[in-house]
Amino acid sequence: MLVTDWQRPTAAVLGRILDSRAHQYWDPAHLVALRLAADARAPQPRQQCCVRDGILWDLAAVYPPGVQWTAQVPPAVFFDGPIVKVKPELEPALATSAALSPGPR
Amino acid sequence: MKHGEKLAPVAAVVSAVSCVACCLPFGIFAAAGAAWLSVIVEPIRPYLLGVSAALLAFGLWQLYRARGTCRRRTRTSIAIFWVSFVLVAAVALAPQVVGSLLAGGLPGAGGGARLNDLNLDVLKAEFNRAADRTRLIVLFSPT
Repeated sequence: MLVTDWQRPTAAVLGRILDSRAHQYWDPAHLVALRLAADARAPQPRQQCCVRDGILWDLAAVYPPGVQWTAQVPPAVFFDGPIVKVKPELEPALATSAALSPGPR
Repeated sequence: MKHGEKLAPVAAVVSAVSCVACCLPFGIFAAAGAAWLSVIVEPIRPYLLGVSAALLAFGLWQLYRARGTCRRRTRTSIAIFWVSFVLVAAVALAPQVVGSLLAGGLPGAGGGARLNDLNLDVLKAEFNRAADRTRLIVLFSPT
């Protein structure tokens, strides 16, 4: 997305997310962004930003417990960015969603 | 008088060192140093890059325009200037890449984090496998 994105993220970049639950993917073709955009529908909120050259980026999507990805990605309960600016809204959305979870978080 | 005799050689040495120092590319070194420091000290990066740019401009002036005691322009000083210029430009234009390269060279920089090539079917399967939990998908630039 940026002019500097000519290579896979280095170990130092990956090291910024050390949570063992996180899986990090290299997606140079923006397949996830394209799928999220194509499958966006109500009641998922519409993002206020985060589209460059028609591609979603710098965006977070929160999916509550119970929803499944079938033919389409399910509607997210939170869908917005840029991450650095939506942190105050993202954290409560995660907490609310996590409260619904019966399993480990 | 005695003090003058003692101080004269010291003054001469200081003068000589000053004369040599003005011909050495300290400003250029400082420019590169400030730029590299800006990678680490992110909040004041714009100021450090400003200092770097000013010092580079001073170095450029020293090399090509100054008509004082430093007329000699050696290949070394020219090479140092342009290497510093490239370093400062790299830090200014791609600070994340430079920072990543710096940190990536350190042992254990990634903390064991793994990168997987995206396969939508795999992602979908993992998404559904964690259906009893909240899932968060975040789209980031690699830099």
